[in-house]
Amino acid sequence: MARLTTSLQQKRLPLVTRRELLLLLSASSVMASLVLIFFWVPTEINQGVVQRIMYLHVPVALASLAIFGLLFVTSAVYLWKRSQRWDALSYAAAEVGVLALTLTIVTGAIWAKPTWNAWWTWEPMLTTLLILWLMGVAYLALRAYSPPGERGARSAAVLGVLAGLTAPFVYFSVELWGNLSHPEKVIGPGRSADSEIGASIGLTLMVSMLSFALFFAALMVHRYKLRRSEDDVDALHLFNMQRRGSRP
Amino acid sequence: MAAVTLLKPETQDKGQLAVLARDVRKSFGRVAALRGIDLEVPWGQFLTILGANGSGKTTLLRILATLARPTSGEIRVAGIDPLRNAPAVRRIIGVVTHQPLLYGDLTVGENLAFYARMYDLKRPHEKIAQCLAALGMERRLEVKARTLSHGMQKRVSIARALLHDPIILLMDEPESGLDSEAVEMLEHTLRSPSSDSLRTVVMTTHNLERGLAVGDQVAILADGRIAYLEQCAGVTVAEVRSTYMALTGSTL
Amino acid sequence: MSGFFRPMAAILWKDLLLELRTRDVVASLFIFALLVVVIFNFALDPAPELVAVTAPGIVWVAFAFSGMLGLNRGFVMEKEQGTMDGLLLSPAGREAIYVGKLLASFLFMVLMEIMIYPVFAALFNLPFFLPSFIAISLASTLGFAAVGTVFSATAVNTRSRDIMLPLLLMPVTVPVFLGAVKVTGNALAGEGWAASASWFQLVAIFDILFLVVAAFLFEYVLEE
Repeated sequence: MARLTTSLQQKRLPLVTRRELLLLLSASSVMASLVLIFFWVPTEINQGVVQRIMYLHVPVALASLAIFGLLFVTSAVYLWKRSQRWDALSYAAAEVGVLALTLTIVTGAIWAKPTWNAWWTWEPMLTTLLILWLMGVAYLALRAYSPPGERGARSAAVLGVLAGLTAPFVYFSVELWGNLSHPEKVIGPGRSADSEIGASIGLTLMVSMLSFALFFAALMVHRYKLRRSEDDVDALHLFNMQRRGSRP
Repeated sequence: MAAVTLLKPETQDKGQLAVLARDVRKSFGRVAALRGIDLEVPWGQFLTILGANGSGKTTLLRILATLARPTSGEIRVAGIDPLRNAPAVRRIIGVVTHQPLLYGDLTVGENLAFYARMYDLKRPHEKIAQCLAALGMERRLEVKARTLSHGMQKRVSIARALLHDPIILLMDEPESGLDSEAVEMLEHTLRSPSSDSLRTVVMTTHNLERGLAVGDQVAILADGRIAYLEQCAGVTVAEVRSTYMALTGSTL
Repeated sequence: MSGFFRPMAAILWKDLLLELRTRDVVASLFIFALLVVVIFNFALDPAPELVAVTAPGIVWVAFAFSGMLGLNRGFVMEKEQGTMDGLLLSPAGREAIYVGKLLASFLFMVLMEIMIYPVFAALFNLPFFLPSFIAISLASTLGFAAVGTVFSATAVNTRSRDIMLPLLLMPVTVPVFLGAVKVTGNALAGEGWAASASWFQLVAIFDILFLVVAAFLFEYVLEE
């Protein structure tokens, strides 16, 4: 409540808030990387134009892994601190994480079809991502099916911790299970004869990674703030009821 | 009353009050169950809490019983903070809830033996026999809990709450389903544990007459707050009834 | 340690006694597992030479799904009888409650496996006694129950709790399931222990880690 009133007291609103600035920055950098990806970087010789999806797939995949790592940490901290902030952050991470992972899997499948001649293979990385996605969906389902209050937040955090712990086990077990491996080095500076081309590939990938990191960070910040606003609405509602209740 | 020692020797250093609540609030999402409860129950006192359904009686009792966490506020049970040391509180409180907390397919004896082990009691069978005898249930030891009537189950449930000889008893509408004979028995056994002191009791009830007769203090819970608190000795049934009407808009 | 062992043993004793009285869990788990095996027989129609390939999968789908029903019963039973508060009111450590409940579920699942496997072996003409299969069954079932006990206590407090448990449990126990299937395959193919050594290692580490972490986290899902 105190936080709410102080934020209402700060009446002078800037022209562009920090959150909007972050969104603008990430939008323009994603645009810039799209320009690099589709117009600047040369086409890879072996795979042709479809290889350009790598510049989307790899950054989004790394971002989704980072977000799920964050979910593990924030869940553990929430159980320790029991503060709504950490729960809001976990929830934001779960939602944005599932979105990023969906994009990863879809872009991966689009890339895989022409290169491996299959939409999907059951290799360790792909399988781990799919299991992570299932756990992310289970997290959101658990939140949706829990009654309002702390209990849903706590059991979701327990899931967050257990899911984080199981992820490496999934990876190793699938690796042990079969002998398929993720074709990480289908393309790279090393393979390319021309070092200038190699450098431009590296730069494009770098810019794209940075801009997608910014983009998902912006989404996370927005989702977090929205969640906090939802909590504030609940708190206001309670406060209001309290005042009405006190009248004779 | 004054002739009986109000404090058990080992509890004297556990603070002046058996139960203390300060500005206790509990909300479930947007729904507030408790809106700032302040409560002080001295050792050996019997507090009767009246309140309409949904007034927060059960929530308050569940918080005192360590079954729920308050959203905010401070609680001490025998001077112990249940949020920090719940097991210590659980050891010294006896709780009677709406549900009998019995396994239908186990006998009365097996049910109580189970709880005796959960409390890690020494000489459990002696305790079980004592508690059942106090409630007139000693001949039902071998009967499956499922086959007992509602009132009988309630008696076993009260025996279960008394097994570990708690110094504080929390009861949520214990008289519901009990016949009048059992209610009489309840009043005797509730207050007299094996030692020579009086048990502290917090009881919610819909039975105004009974609640006033057994209680030292009477409180009315309305809209998640303690709206009324008086010594039972100083008020009449009619007074409390009309206050209750004014505060809750319903009759008792 | 009496504060841990007596309550833990009390819960185990209570669950076993209830099961002895009602025979609810093990009987229904057995019938369910049998149904899975029969359905798979029709669905896959494994030719005799293919049985060794498909059998491990069939066995473990039967074990896992039937075991999940058993795990679900563990806390649904407490919830239905309204006895959850009785457990929570006791001063016993929450890890004692966890281990007691876990052992009860584990025993029921192992009993179901002991009953269903001979039937399965007879139906598909497989060897009855395979030491490494027995070992991995115990290890995997333990890991399954270790995670399942926490999620069962979680699911029981949600709406549509029957769908919630598989949703939570299945992804997290994927490593255990893979290990179980692979080692069973090795055992049926007549390979020695050495072929399965790394799987045993993986499942053992999983079991220990999740037992410890789950015992610690259990308190959080029980609390109201």
